Amino acid sequence: MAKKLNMRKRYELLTRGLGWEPTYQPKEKVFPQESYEGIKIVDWDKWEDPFRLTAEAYWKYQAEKDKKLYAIIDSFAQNNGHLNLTNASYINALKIFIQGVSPLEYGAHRGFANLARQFSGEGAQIACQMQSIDELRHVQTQIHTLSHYNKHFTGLHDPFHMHDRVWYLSVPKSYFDDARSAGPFEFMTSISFAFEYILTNLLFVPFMSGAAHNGDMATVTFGFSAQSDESRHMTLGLEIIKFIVEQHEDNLEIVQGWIDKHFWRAYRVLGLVSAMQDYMLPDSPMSWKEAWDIYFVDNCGALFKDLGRYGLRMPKFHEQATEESEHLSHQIYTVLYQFSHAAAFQTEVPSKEKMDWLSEKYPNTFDKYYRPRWEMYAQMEKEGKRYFNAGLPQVCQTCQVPMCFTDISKGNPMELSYRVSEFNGDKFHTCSDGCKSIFDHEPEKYAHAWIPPHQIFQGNCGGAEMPDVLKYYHFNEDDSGEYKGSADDNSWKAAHHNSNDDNDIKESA
Amino acid sequence: MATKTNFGTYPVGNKDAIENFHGNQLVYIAWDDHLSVGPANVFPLPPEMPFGALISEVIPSITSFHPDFEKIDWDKVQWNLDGKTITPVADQSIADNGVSHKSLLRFKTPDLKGYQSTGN
Amino acid sequence: MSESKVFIILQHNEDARPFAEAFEQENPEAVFKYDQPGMIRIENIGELKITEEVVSELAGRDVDLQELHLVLVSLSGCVDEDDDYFKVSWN
Repeated sequence: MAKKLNMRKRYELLTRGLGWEPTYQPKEKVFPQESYEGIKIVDWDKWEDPFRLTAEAYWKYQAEKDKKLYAIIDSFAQNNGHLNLTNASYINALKIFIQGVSPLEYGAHRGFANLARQFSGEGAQIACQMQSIDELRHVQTQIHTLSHYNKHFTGLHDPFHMHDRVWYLSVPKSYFDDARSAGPFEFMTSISFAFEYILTNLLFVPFMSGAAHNGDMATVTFGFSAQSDESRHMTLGLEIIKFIVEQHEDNLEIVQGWIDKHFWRAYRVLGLVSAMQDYMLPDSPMSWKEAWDIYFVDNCGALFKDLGRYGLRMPKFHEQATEESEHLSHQIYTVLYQFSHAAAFQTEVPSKEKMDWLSEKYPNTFDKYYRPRWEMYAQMEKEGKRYFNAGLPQVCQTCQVPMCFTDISKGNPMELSYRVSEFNGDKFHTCSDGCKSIFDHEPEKYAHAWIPPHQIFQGNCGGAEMPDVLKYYHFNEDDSGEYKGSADDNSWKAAHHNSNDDNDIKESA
Repeated sequence: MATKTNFGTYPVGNKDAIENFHGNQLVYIAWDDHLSVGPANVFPLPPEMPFGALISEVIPSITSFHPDFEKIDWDKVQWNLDGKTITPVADQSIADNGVSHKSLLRFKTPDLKGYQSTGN
Repeated sequence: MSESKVFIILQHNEDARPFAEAFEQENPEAVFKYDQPGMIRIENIGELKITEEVVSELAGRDVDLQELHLVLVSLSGCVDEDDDYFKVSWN
């Protein structure tokens, strides 16, 4: 019997020598997107996937992951696992996840399928194909897992419809659309490197750990199952950056520009995660600031020290992101609170215990700047005047986050940060130096951004009144608003009325 | 620097050009030192609306809930339009006061610094 | 070798046990953290490495190192792998 080939040889057979030189069409027409961005690839054979997975191994391990996941989802459903959560308010974090993140997985699936077609190197084609299939698996497993919660809780019923229309979901959507409407190398730098390598740990690791902390074993399981693929994607993101930069000296400046841009774009999207982590998890195992220090400051510090020899430096404005880390979640959650009458999740003033936890985790900022705000809202609520903002917010032309950020880097933590550019006879407002710099670099692109409040006023969102817009969003009546007294709160309390003992809860369910 | 494109160029014109707002123009309004209100709010307003109506109708629609609101002395309010100090004339239109499409109008109440003077 | 920290995060379960123990045995300086629910975080300065021989010995059967994919949560560093070893390092 022939000796089994070693890993390197198997990978080489999978990824080399399967392509061909076109004869009746020029190569530029077969791969029409490969050169216009200015990236020069001299030798695709230098592409090396650090995880040398063959197709056979890939299918074997992915099948194994799915088998484990679905066994757990089944038993979760059979045992009414949703009743073992710390509190139903936790589900609000899952709503943002399935509305905001799962459709990105689908976007990534499509994006990598396109890359598999557009890159002419076979190693890159194979890697992008596998990632495309991974991303499709992620969106499917997330939908399957959360469909159990959809039977019992509000806001989970139309995530894909909402993703394309709702104001807060235009934040993640516009970021992915930005990347997908760019060329293949920029998409790769954006998603594989800036998002997956630099920032994805901040999304999945604390969030999944938070799910475990709050009794949500179903989400933990799909999260870990997806994350095992992410490790592969991250590693690939790092390799691709090195590969591009090593191919030609002209590539360095272009790639650095993309790293700067997409770091900031992806970071702004993660603002939503900071709010979920600090405010929406009833029990948070780790604050946003702690996660930022570990996964960005330490980890990316090490990463860019390593990348220094290729001439790459830390992304522009990373200092501002770090300066914001003691403010970000408070500012974002304030917006979610103020506008949750127009959101498919519910919010509430943090409990006393939560506020004490926030004081402890944010000793420099919470008591001074943010606690008074929550106390004011709590007072209003007590008087029967729960605060909802009565208008529509100004949103940033680049990141599309309502302009809630303050000028922290200029020493004004209580003054909103405004930046403005002129283009083509109009003013364009951005929330930060990072977003302004991105706008100014490609104003032709961002001048066409679909800005949700502006679209409402143009009459493109179902009508002029709030109920019309919410109908256009496919919101149900009990999806939105204050958590206390919401349908989720009421049904949770009804299910847990008799006892706090887990066994009794299972029996009564 | 121009955006690199593979297929043609981006269309001319802005998605939020004033023509798309049915005779209105967008105006962003914010009350400084009162972050509990939220981000600046955006309104579609007729350019011919008197500045006084903006004070008596538009601004209260988003700020009247605030305990500082009824203490505002409107004669003392400091106005900032697109980064420049202005002294608006109440019976002139917002357009004549210099408010244009997508202008940012901020106002400061020097003696009022938000809930418990915390900027909220 | 670099002074920078590399890490590997594994699921905290039975499938990951031989891998986690191999990391412990083959990287005596590595630090193990269990502070985040559901996972084991393994950190070291410069590099983390395991071999197929040690993982198989600890599992009591022949282990294909690529089975690591089933329990991997995250990592930081450059990956180098072959049939008989798996390594994460900063250069």
